[in-house]
Amino acid sequence: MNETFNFSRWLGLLKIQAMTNGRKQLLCILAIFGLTFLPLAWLMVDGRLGHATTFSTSIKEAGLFLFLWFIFMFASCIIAVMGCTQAARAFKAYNRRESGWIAMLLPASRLEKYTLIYFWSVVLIPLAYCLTFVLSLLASYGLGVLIHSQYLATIGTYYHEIVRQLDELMANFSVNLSPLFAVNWWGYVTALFVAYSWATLNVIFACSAKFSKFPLLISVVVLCLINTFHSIAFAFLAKDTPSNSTDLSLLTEVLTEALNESLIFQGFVGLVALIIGYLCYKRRTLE
Amino acid sequence: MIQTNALSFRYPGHRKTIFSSLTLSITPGYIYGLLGQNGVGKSTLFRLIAGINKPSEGSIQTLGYTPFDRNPEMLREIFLIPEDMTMPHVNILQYANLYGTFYPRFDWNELEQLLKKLDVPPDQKLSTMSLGQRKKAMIAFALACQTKILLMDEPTNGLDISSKRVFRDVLYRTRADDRLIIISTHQVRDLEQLIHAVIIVHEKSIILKDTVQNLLAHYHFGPISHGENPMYFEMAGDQKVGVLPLAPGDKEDTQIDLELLFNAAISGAFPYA
Repeated sequence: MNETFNFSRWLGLLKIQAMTNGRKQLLCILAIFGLTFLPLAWLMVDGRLGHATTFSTSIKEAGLFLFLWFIFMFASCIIAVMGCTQAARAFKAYNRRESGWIAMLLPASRLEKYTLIYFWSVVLIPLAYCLTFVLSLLASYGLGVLIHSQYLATIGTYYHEIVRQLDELMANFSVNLSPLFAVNWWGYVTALFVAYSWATLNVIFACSAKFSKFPLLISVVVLCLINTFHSIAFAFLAKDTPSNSTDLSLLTEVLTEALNESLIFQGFVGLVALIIGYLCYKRRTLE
Repeated sequence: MIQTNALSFRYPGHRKTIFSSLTLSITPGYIYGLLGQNGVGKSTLFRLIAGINKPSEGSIQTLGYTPFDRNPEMLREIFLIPEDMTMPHVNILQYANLYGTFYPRFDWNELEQLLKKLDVPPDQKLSTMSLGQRKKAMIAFALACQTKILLMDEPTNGLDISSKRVFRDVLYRTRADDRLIIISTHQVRDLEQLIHAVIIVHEKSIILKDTVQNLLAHYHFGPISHGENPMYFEMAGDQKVGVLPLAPGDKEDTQIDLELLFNAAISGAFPYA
């Protein structure tokens, strides 16, 4: 049969999702924003209020900053993964006898329902988390500019300055700080990739009828993870980053290249999963 | 409105056949009572009509559509109230605001009146309501949707005595010539004054489908006098009650005894017509 697609009905479905599952996601987004913004804001405010030499005079403060940075970033990653998982798990209700009937008998086409599930858990939520992370970086920088308006550097310069100061401070301990900062972003993005893969698989799982899903699910997860780790690690190795490098632009370039390569693959996997998921969704029944 | 043709069904991966070569035609304008023993497939029949499940063999048509295609044009004219339900964490007004827009004839005034009549708190979250309250909220919403087909699986389960009376009253008033209401229940006493026709499911097929009016015109349901030859009887305390074919000139009963009818039907007293 011909599957219809009515955009106003689709928006109605989106409204239902936003009302029934949006609150948890909003809380996750706020938590991620807070956790990534706070350590940066603290550093920015502290560093710009006439204490620019903070790190070069106090290893204790630098250590505290690093400690907080990693803890908060780790917490952000955990929340991002949990949020993505929750977003996809919301649709598991579709498979339950007591709750699935609402979704199945809602007067919208299967194409509308399926694309909504996919959009919500694979596109919208991971994208919102990514944007939140970037926005929190911009907001912390904005706060610094607001407090110290004559400091009109770019965000890249700002990080460069932080890295330079920390690097100077830690030189005696032979610690290369640049990768540490990169690792945060890498960790966050990797966490999001895991979450994205998990969400994609959950969508397939939520929409599946009776088919041999486990081998498929496991293969997709493994492929996504291997690709992500491999492409990022390979990009680092290939660039031959000097151990004492403080050039953030190099790291950015390496990461961008790795992530672009990885994203293409994730996109391909996502597309295949989308098609398989839809075919399964069409055949779905409730027991 | 609903037509099945040699329909057979069993759940995937299960050996037990629920229906075998079931042929049935259900027309609008009536409130049907769907009766059957536990596990006989009443809920499954609803799910097949609504398109949640797909027939293993044979075919089914609902409003001229193949239900399993779940065409939105069909879904907007059908509402199923299942026996068990998990509801989202919203109140009934929020629920109606979200879901009512999908039904073209959804009537807010009707919903508000029904909520009042059924004594449903409009600001309580559906997920925190008792089963009875949830059922009443969904009955009100379903009736406000004004769909052509309304399927209710054990709607009176969990309802208190006064709510059952209100339920019968509101349902009776919603009957229309172009509307079909099917109620599946074990609590047959709740339906006796409400339904216009009976469908009895037994051993994978329909063993009786008739209007109450026709049954009353041909049979007596109740006490059996000494010397009468009932087609089915049982003892109710000291009294013999049963189903007796009416002879020409006999006075018709005014009310059907669904329990007697059901017991008579599953004992094989009625040949399926």
